[in-house]
Amino acid sequence: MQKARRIYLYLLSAISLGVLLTGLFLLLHVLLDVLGIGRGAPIGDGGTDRQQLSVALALIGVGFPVWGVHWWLADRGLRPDAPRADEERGSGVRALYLSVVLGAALAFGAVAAVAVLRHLIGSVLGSQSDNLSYDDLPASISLLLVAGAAWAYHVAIRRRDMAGGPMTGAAAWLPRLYLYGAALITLQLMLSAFADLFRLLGEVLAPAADGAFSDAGYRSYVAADDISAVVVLAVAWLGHVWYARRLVEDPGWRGASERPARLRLAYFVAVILIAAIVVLVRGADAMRAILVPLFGATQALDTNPTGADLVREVLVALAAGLLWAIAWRVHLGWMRGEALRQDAAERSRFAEQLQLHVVAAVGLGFGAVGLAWLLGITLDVLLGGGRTAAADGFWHLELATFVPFAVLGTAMLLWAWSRAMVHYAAEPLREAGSVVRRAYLLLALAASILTGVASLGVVLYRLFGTILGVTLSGDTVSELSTPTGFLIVALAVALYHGVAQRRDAALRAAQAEEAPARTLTLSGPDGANFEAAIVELRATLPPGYRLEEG
Amino acid sequence: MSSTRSILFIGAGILALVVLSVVVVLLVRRGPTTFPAGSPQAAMADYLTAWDDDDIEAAYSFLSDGVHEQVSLADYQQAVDQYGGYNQPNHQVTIDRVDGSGDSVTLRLTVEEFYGDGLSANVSRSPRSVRMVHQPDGWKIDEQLVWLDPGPFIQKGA
Repeated sequence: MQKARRIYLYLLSAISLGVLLTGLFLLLHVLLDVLGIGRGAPIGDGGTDRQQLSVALALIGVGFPVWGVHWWLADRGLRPDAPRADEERGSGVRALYLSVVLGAALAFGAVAAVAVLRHLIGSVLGSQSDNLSYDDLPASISLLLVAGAAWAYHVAIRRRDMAGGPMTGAAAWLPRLYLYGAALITLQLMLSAFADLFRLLGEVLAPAADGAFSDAGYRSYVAADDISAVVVLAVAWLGHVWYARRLVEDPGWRGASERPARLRLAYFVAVILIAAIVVLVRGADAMRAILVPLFGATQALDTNPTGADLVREVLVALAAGLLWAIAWRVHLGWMRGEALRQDAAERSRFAEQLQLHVVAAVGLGFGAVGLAWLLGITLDVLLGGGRTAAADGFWHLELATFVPFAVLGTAMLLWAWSRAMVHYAAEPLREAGSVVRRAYLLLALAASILTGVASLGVVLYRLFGTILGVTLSGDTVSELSTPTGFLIVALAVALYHGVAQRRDAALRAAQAEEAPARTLTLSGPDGANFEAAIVELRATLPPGYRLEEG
Repeated sequence: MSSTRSILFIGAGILALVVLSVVVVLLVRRGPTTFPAGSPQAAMADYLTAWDDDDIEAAYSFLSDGVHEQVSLADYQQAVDQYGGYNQPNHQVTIDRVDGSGDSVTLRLTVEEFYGDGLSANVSRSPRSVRMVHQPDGWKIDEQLVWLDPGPFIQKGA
């Protein structure tokens, strides 16, 4: 009953808050319009101010009383004299409400801040592009003010809730999901904006013959857009990362709850995963730019790049990749440092396993696709397929595209996997029992089996079609070469990882037979952090004892 | 701060903002801008006034000689009859800036349109660029426009 009431109160609060904020946005918009901020000189007197004001007043008139009453009822349960104050403060529904409002307010506020800053920077740079007219400055300022106020108010509410004492379960992890989700998204968008800025810089320093930035006004607009995005997103990312760091360093319950949080570790691993993908893709872009003329693929692309074009493409791709490499290094350092501070072995080992296997998975994915494609082209050449004999030379472009994936992907795989194997060689039993290694091997096995099945399906369709006399389009060798390449590589990957999986299973079975063990059950209070408890228990075990999850 | 007091503070702040906005909108109501006589902005304002007055002949006279060579007054009137309906009270046009100099400039405009009804009402804003040339008889619009939209005219001799 209490939960249903809570859902009703927070749902109504959220909906009416949306109505209220929309009304306030319109009200501020009209006010700025009337004051002539960011608007041109009006012609005639057929203004729409009064209509807009009427709508704004109606929305506020409806939204504020409904929100005020429902939010007051919801918040009243947190008064110190309320019988269920702690239950209310730690409820998952309240945490969900706060997280959703914070996320939405941050997103709208960031978009508006970028638009305002873009307008200001564009004015300084003298942007003359038609696109600048689309920036509705009063709307952006109004949105920024309304979203900023809503965000700040709900941050204050959350901080007040946290000041009341420890929080567990959904009340802890939902706002944490907002915190690290916002940090991850703003970091990703900020580095993308940086990449766009590098692209613009490259085009300015070495303009392409048919470049999109030949128009100075448009160039200024894009520069203003990229710079404002970088500034706003950097502030948002740094703010969230700084706050998270403060939580970790808190000597009280906040720190004790934050330090072992899986979401914090997941944030680091997610950054490393994205960084590995982007570094590989940007590296492949740079390599492809060199290989396209080297392999004679310019005809297929219908381009004739100059030396300056090549240098620009390579440097722009490498600069964008370098930023992500720095982000990778920084987050890896943070992750290792925190793991070491928490416990000397367990957490560090887990973190290291995670990052090595994530990077290995990225390398394996790209490397396998690249190798499979190259194998397909090789088969086509060897068997006289039409694809590699065609005059359009399109397969040269395929070579220039997939050689970088094969080379860089394999290099990344070997680098990460060899390090993982060093750990394996040192402690085979422990590594064989690790969840991370098991998950990686099963993932690789599943992906390769699915790829193999799909490739085999294509091959068999062609085979049966030929036997049954079906009219099939295209050259048989060329149609079969790429699926065959994928089939062979998928078989090799499945074989390797399948053997490793079986070896690990055998090791685990032998260990289970040899070592005396007892099965215990760990229980805890509502919203218990079992991960943290297990880490603490492992740290207290005497030499020779191990604690494994079933 | 207790929840009751914080909600009261928020309500008071919103009320103050509402009162301020209503007073400002009523007192500082935006009127038509007076542009310098003989300027391209003044010509555009006169052109739109002619539209507001349903004076199509006067509106046609604000088009350049080059446009007149392509579109006759009869064609223009026909297009207006077919695609007219621009003289609506819920339009507002603002001149954001003037690009260029000499005898040829481009006016950057924003067309504001209030549409819908009740709580679903909204305002759409869209930018327009209008090329204008200076002729012996003043600034003229050098595009085939019906109000501020491109006209559906067939080029003469095409």
